[in-house]
Amino acid sequence: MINHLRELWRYRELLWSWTGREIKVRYKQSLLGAAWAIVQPLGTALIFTVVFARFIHVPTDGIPYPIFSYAALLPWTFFATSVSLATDSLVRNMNLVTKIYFPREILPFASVLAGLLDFAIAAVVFVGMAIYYRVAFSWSVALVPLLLLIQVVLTLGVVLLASALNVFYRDVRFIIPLGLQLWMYLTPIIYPLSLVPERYRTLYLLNPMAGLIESYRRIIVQGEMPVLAQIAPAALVSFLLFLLAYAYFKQAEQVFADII
Amino acid sequence: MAVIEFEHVSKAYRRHWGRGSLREALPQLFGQVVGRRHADDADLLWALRDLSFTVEEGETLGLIGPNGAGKTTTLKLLSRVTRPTSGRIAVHGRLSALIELGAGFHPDLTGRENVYLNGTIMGLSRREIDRKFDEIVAFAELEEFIDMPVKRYSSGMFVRLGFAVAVHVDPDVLLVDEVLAVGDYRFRDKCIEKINDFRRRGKTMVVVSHSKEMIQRLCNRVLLINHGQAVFLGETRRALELYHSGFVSEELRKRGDLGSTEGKPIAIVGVEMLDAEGKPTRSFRSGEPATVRLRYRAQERVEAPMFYCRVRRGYQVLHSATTARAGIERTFRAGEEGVVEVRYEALNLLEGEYNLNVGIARDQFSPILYDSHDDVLRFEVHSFLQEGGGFVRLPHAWHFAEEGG
Repeated sequence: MINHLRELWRYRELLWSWTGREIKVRYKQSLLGAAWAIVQPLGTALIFTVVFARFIHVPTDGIPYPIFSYAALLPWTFFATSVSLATDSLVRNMNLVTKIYFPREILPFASVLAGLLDFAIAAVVFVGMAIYYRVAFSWSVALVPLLLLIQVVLTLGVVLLASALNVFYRDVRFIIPLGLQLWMYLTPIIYPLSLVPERYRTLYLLNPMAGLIESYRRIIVQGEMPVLAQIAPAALVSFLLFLLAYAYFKQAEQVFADII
Repeated sequence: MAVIEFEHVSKAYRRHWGRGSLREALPQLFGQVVGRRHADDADLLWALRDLSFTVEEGETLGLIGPNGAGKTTTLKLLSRVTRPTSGRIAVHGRLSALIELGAGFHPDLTGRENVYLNGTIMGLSRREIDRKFDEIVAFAELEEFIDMPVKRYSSGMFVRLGFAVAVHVDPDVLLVDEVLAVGDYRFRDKCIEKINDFRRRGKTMVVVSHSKEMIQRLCNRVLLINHGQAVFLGETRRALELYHSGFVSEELRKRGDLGSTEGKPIAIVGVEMLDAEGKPTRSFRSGEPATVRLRYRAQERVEAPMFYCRVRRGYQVLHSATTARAGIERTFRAGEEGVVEVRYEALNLLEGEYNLNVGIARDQFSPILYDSHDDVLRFEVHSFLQEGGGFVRLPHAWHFAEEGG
C-alpha cells in the first residue's frame, strides 16, 4: 500500500494535469459551462421543496426546506457525479490504458478531483442562500474540511471499486445509476435523520453518507458540533472501504490492458 | 551493463475474459471462489513462450517477425503496460515509448494544452515541459497552430506533435514501434535523425519495424521471433536474410494451404479473389470491381470478432477493410461455417503485384488474433501508363489555363 501511494506521489503531476483536462473538457463543450454545477443541485432542491415542503410537509427540525435540502444536495451531488463519471474513466480512456504505463487510479481519481470544482462553485450559491435565509454561521463551520476529507476518501474508495469492476463487467455502468438512486433514499437528504426509527439507526448509520450529510447540516445550518456516534462510523467505514478498494484495484490493474 | 533483461518470459492472454457481461461472468467468478482459479489451458492464447534476451547499454536491438509473432507484446511488457504470465523483466533507467503517438491527446484541447498533458503522461514534470516547450513546438513545426484545438489539425500535424513530445522525454531506454511509417518524408528523415542522435549519445533502444531499411539503418543486433519464440538473435544482416528468405517466401508458398484450424476459436479456411463476373482470378484490370471471398469455420461460440482484409505492397498497407469499421457485429455458433465477401467496387490500384493479408481478431482493440494469414494471396493489377504512376489510381486530367482565357 505504501509503495502504491509512493508511486502515485511520483506521478502527482499527471494527476493534476489529468484533473485539469477533465475540467476543461467538461466545460469547453457545454453552453452554460460552469453554470451546470449550480443548476443541478439548485434545480433538485427546488423540486424537492415544492414536493416535500409544499405537498407532503416533511419535518425539517425547524430549518427552511430549501436550505435544508440544498445543504444536503450539495455534498450529495459531488458524490453522485463523481461516482458516475469516474466509473467509466478507465474504459473511456482505453487507448491510453493499453498503450502507456502509469498508475491507473489516476483516471478515476482525477474525475473525483475535477468534481471538487463543481462543488466549490455550487457552495458559493449556498452562501448566498444562507444569507437570504439568515442562517447564523457558528464556529462549527470550520469542521467542513474534515467532513469533506472523509467524503473524498469514501468517494475514492467507491470509484476505485466501480471503475475496476466496470473493466471486467460492463454491466456496472448500468447498475451505478440505480445504485445511486437507492443510496440517495437511504441517506437523510429529503428527510432528517430524526425521522429514522431509533432501533434502525445504528444500521442506518453504517451508510457513511448518512452520517456525513447529517453532520454537514448540523455544523453548517444548525451551528452545532457533529455527533460522534454519527460521524465516527462514517469515517471508519470510509477509510476501511478505501483501503480494501485500493488493494483490489492494484491487484486488478495488472490485467486491465489485457482485457479492455 | 545490461539495461534490459528479459528472462524466460511467457505471456498468455485469457481468451474469454472480459468479453462483457455479468451473466457469463458470475459462474466464472464462482468457479474462482471454489478454487478453479486457473481455467483450462485451452482458454489461454500464448503470445510469448519462454523468450530470453538482454540489451546492453548503448545498443539498438531490432525486433522483427511476421504479424502476430509477439513483437508488440514484447514492447508492451517492456513498457509495463502489461505483466508477464511468467518470467522476469528488468529495465534499468527511464523508459519512453514511441508507440502510440498522441495517445491521450484530447481533440477539444489546444496543441499547447495537449503538449503539457501528453508530456506528463510520458513522465515529464511541468517544469521540464516549460523548459522544453519551445523546442517541442519548433520540432513539430506547429508554431502558428499551437493554440488551436487539435481536432482542427491534419493527421500529419497530429503525429508530428505526438512525436515531438515523445522524443523530448529524453529517456535512457527508447522503444520504437513502427511509428515512422507516418508523416511526410522530410519529417520522417528528421525523426530518424533524432533517433540516431539518441544512439550517438549512448542511449539504448528497441526498434520494431517492418521496414528493412529502417532496421538496417538503426540496429546493431536483431532478434527474429515467430509464434512468440526466438528464432534468431544476432547480426542484423543475417537476421534480415533469414526473415526475408525464410518467412516471407514461405508464407507466399503456402498460398491456398491455410494450415490447421486447431486451437483457433474461429479460423479462415479458404481465400480466393473473384472478378466482376464472379470467376476466380489473380489478375485484374485497374478500376474494375473485385471481390475477396473468405471461408471461415467457428470451432466454438465466438462473439463479435473482427474480420480484416488488407491489401499490401511490400510492407506498406495500402488499404485495410474491417468488419468493425463497417459496423458489423455478428456472433458465430460453435461449428458454424460460412462465407464472407469483401466487395471492392473498383480496384483503384496501378500496375504491379499486391499481397493480401486476412485474419480475424477478437475485436477492434484486442491484440489477440484468432487467426491471421499474411501474404496469403498475391494478385496482379494491370493499368495503362496514362493512368498514372505509383500505387493508386486517381482518375485525373491535365489542363493548361489559356492565357487571357
